[in-house]
Amino acid sequence: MIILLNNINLNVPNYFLVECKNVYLCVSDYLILVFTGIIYFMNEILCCQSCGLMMQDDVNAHRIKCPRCYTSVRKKSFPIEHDLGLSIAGLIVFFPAMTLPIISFKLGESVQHDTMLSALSYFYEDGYPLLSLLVFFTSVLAPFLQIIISLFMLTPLYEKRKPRFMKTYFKVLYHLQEWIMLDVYVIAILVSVIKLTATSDVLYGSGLIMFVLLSSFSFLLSRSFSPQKIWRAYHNAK
Amino acid sequence: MQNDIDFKQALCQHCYHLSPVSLDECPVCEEVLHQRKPNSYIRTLALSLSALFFFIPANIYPIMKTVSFIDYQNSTIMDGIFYFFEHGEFFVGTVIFMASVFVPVLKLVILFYLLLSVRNHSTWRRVQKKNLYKMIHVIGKWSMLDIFVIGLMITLVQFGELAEVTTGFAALSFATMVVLTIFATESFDTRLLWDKKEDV
Repeated sequence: MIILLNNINLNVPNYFLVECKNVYLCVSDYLILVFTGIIYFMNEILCCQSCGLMMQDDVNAHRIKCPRCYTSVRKKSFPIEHDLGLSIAGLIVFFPAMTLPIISFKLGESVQHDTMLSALSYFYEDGYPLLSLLVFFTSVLAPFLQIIISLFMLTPLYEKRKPRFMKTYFKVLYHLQEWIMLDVYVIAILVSVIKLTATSDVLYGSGLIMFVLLSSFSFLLSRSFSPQKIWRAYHNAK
Repeated sequence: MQNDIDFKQALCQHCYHLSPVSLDECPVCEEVLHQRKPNSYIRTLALSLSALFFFIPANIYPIMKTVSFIDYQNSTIMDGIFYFFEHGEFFVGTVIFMASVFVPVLKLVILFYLLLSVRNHSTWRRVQKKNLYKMIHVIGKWSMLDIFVIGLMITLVQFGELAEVTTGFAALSFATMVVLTIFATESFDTRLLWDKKEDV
């Protein structure tokens, strides 16, 4: 436009041209700033977690795969409500699962009911307390902490508030993921029942259903755990 | 195709936020920033070697002792698996074999192979190597199955006069091995496979 003014309208006063030029430059600078800002905002740079490749983010894409190692850099994940619902359901099921008898064992006339916690106490008295503490951590404490921390962290985020101890919650939850072994414990119950049916009668208790439910809730909760989702929600919160 | 090292950026392992290397802490989650997991190679090597060391007593010593008034029986991990195969429980026998022998051995073999290829700066089939790592990350916890089964057996067989089941020394060393392999898997960084020779 300036070039056009310069070339064609030569009788335009000089001061006007200068003014026009300044204004135009200001506007164009502003526009460039805005556009680059938008472009920068829209195409944020991503980095692959497994190979370290830098790539452009595409906001419209639901999932992005690294072109070099095919890791999904951004997955389509469930909303926070989904996780919150799962953790509430887990909390409801947790205490019955721990205190109701899981298996009843019958030999002759005597019947023995075993709950999750009584099993652990027998194991503790057996001679290797460290081992039973490991089992306690992986099958009771870690799922409980996972459910409680998800509840404490996600309830304020759902109401668009910032949780007070967000960083601690997140750190604990992040490091717990590897140690939740409830699904392994369900298979272990199955195996030991099959092992004992040869010698005696084994009856399933009502706690078993609760335990299977708890393990599936906990499994789904750790499947949908995504750091990006949680921190995005934290930044959107007031 | 350029790495984060070329751009002098560091990816936060906790929140996947990208920030310059000059920062000490991640601005989002205040976690200490590292471009790669610190001392990844030597840490993984040490942990997997000690896991290999604990794997030997886990297989030699009895994992479960069954005491009844008729006989006294010590059984190692392999004895327990043979017991299932002799009694026709092929499915359970296979599950126990997979969990307590196949998975730990596979895990250690894959970890040593990955460490070797990082050491040699091998560029051969890096994507498949990364997939192997993802696999052992997922199946690693299943080797705890045997420990859980023993814990349940002790509880279920509590008829003091008829029969009693107690834990053997192998259970402790087996559990130690599993925990060490989990830590070894956590400390390995797959980005080392793609790093150039001059970066390290």
